[in-house]
Amino acid sequence: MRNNRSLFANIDWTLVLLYLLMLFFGWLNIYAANYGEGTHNLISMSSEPGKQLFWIGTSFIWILLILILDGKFYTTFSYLIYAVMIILLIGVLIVGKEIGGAKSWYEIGNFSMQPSEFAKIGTLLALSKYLSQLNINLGKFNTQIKALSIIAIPILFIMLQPDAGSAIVFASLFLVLFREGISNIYLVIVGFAIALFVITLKLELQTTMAIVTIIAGLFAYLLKKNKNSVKPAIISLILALGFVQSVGYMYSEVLKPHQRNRIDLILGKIDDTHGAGYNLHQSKIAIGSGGFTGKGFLDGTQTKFNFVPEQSTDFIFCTIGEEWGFIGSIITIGIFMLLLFRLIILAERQRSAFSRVFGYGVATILFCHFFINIGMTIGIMPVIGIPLPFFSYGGSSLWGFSILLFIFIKLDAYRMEILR
Amino acid sequence: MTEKKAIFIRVMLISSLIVIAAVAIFIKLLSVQADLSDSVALNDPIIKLKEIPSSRGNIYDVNGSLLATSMPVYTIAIDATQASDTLFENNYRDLAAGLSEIFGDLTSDEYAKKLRQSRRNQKQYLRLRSGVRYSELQKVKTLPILKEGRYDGGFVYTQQTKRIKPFGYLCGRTIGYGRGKSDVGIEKAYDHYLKGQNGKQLMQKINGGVWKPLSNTQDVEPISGSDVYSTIDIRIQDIAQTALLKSLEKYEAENGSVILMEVKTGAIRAMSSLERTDDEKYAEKFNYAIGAAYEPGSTFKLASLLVALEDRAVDTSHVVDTENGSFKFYDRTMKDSNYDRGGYGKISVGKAFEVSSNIGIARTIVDNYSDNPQRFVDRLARLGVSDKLDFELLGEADPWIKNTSDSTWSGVSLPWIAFGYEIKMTALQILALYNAIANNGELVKPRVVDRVKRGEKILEAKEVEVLKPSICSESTIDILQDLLVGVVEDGTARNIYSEKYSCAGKTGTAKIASEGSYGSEYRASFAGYFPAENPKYSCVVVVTKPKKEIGFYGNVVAAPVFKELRNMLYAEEAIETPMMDGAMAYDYVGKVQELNDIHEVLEYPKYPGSQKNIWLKSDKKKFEVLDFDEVEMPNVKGMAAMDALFLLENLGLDVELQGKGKVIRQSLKAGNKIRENQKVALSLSS
Repeated sequence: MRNNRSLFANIDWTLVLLYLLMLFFGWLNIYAANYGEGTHNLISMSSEPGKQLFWIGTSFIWILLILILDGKFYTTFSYLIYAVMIILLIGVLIVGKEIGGAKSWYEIGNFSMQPSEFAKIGTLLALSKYLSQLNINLGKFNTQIKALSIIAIPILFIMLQPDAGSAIVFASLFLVLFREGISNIYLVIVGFAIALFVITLKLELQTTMAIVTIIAGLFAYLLKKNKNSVKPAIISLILALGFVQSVGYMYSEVLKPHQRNRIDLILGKIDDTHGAGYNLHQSKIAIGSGGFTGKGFLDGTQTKFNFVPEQSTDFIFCTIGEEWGFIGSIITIGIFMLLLFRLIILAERQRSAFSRVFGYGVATILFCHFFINIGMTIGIMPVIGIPLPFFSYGGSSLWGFSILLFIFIKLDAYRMEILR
Repeated sequence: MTEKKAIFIRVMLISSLIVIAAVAIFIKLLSVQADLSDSVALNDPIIKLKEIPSSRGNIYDVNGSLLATSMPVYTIAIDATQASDTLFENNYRDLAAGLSEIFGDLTSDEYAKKLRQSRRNQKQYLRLRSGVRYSELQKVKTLPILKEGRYDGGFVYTQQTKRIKPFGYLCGRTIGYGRGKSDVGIEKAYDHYLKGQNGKQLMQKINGGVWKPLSNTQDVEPISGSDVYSTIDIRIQDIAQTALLKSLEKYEAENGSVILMEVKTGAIRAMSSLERTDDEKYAEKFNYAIGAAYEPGSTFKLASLLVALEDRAVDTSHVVDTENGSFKFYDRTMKDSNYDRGGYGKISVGKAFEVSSNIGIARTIVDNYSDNPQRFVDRLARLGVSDKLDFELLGEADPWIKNTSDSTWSGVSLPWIAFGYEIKMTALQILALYNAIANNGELVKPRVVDRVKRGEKILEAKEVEVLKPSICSESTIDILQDLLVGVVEDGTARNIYSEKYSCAGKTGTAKIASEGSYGSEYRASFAGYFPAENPKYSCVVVVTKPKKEIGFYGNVVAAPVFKELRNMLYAEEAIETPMMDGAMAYDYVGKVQELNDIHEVLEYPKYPGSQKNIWLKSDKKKFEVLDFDEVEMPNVKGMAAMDALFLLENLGLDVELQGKGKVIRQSLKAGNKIRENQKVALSLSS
């Protein structure tokens, strides 16, 4: 294998093209979201489209840096980077600026930096490093705990900010563990937990507990001949009831009223188009008003004039839906599908576990953002404020996603130089 | 092998998860966008970006008095579905009581009933009241439920503007009306400056076609209009209108108009047109001063004589035979006003003008131009009397002179044109001609607007527009000026002569043609200027159809209006005229010290009182203390420049600004007495 010393040797151009396409389309929509009568000179450092151009430009510098660095750099410094990120997450709790009730931002001069966007990189690097050790066995409980801890530590500090959206994104890294062979039982437990969570919130607490008990009884009846399964069944029942109880407690005591409202809205328990449901309602009007072909670039009316809140960040998909219609929405979803499956395919062809885990991690994180973000704008997910990768306005998230993606592109380009 | 298979299954599972998520999004999108099940887009109330009118600019008079302004008024409403049950039930009676107390239009119980019903019917827009003033709105905002605001209380209000003329009917027609079908006046002519730019607001259409704003802030702020400063002086306007009204009432005339203009600049200081309404009162409905062209009659003799003098056809000493007051041109007999007393006989042309002998002027013209009448008509046209002035307000009527090519031109056309028939002019056009004589031949364009300002910035400053630098030679001007003085001193307008207040002018008494023949209805007019020697103001008065039995001559019906304006303005402005026969023909006005200084020079007695800071008027012996409002200088430190300027200019001060931003120093101390036109300097700093 000859070494091609060119920076762009062996890089996957499909990913690069998809990336550039998303940046371009995303910027157009940020421009449109800020466009309105009486607005002029949108391309300046005082406007969002202007700033976003700056973030795009600086992302290219990061990319260049990533491609220049040797592929070994990432494996070598994984834990160090992870440690720095954890420190940043702790630091933000102390010196961070509180925006909207959460201490998630560092303020440096005129710029704000959100460490959780970068902590994803560190966490994924550390997880990749840990799982790529020789003789690692995810079947061992000890290993499972260590792997889960790598994910859980940043989640802990992020929950303290609190930033539920980012925490969920980190939690989604569990899918990577699943690919790497963690026991099916975890997936089943997670699946059950999510199902119980939804049912608990949808139905009354007592009803849910009754249902759980009946199901457990049925299982006990079916398994009555197998004496060995009685004990685990009882433990499962107790755990399930405890979980339901704690979900009920969390819902009514821990969640803030606005968060409760958001969940109730999605579950259809309340119908409110002015208060808590205002965002979602306006978002749906905006997307719905786009129809099949959309109103045309810059011709949207609903996403302008601060109709849909956070229109260029969390609700950027509204602008896409309104101005580009169903066709534009489907193309956007299609681009994400291409990106995600290309990532999985590339991850599967990696020789090293490190690169594979990292690739899956990137795919998982992007998927999580994609699904939750678009899902919330059309009402299949609660309103959780996380950005749509490469589309939403914002420097930290764009840098974070760009770095994630290009580290993997670099690792992929470097794959031939790694001995199996 | 089994491990590979297990991994494959897991990869497939993860892939399926992604696909399922994408499909879920796809289906939901389809339902939202293609409107299959949710029909969000269709069922949702229509939302539109609606225009929000901008606040219209103000119109000021020349001294900064507000002639027209816009006041915001509000329409307040409640969305009865918004408040929570407890909030509504516990407070709606208090709200009703509060509304009743503020507006007093409905009782507390009636309001309560309305609120209760709207709540029961889930009415999203219950209009509580419109035309609410700002101060009332502030009170309403403190009432229970409403004070919770847009979302929690359902309080909705929209702003409208109401145009107000602080001086009421005074000058109403000149100020005009904007934004209607019958737009006229300054409001119409300067609409593009006054109107500003409308803003935009997102509104939601709710039940019953009512549009409800989605927020209480505006999405595109309207830009308010610029201010127009008129040349009108509301004090003079008041005098003019009152004098005209007096005359109209006294002579039970049909309508009348008066215009007073500054000679040098063409700035109209007062313009009023009144007509009798159905209820026997007088009101300003149509601007006759600019909109009605009529046969001017004798006031036009000025133009005829001007042409004859300029052509050196005659001089004023040339004798013309007016015979016994009756003279036949072809088949038509011309009479002088003193026909019944035997006529003027042989008189000079100058005398003929002063006594307004129709025959004298007509014969003078016929003798010189009957061989080529078109030359006379052309010479008149060259004066500009057949040209429109292109006046800035809408509705100037076309002037007209019968041409020799006209099918109705006859042998009597020339003599009749000579004294103001078979031609048509508006009062304003006549005034422009007389003003040109007063202004030593320079014909300036009349105007009612001085400048347009936006804040402190002058957007447009009107300058004197000279239509003709010289309508005739200086010698002709001198002769005509003397003749016009003569009219007042020894001629038809002798009744308004005053030793103290010199003036010049010409009367007109024209028969009004109706259905082709001249009946016994008259139009009395007077056009002139004052002071005679150094003219400051020109003025025209026209009274149509005074009652013949009471009086109908120009000198009787119209000239007194002129006289009243003349006298008042002399008194008010202490117009200086040279002393006549060593007597002081005018009043002095000034502060004690200033007046005493003058009296000392003129060897008149000094003011005996001891007060120092008062204003006096004296007519060489008697002193009169003038009752100017004693105004104190306010403290404007810290105010924005525009606000301070507004305040001080309204107090009559002459404000000079230095720098930008807020006031940090004022040259007059707060609390000091100030007088009109006193200079004050403000230092600004941002």
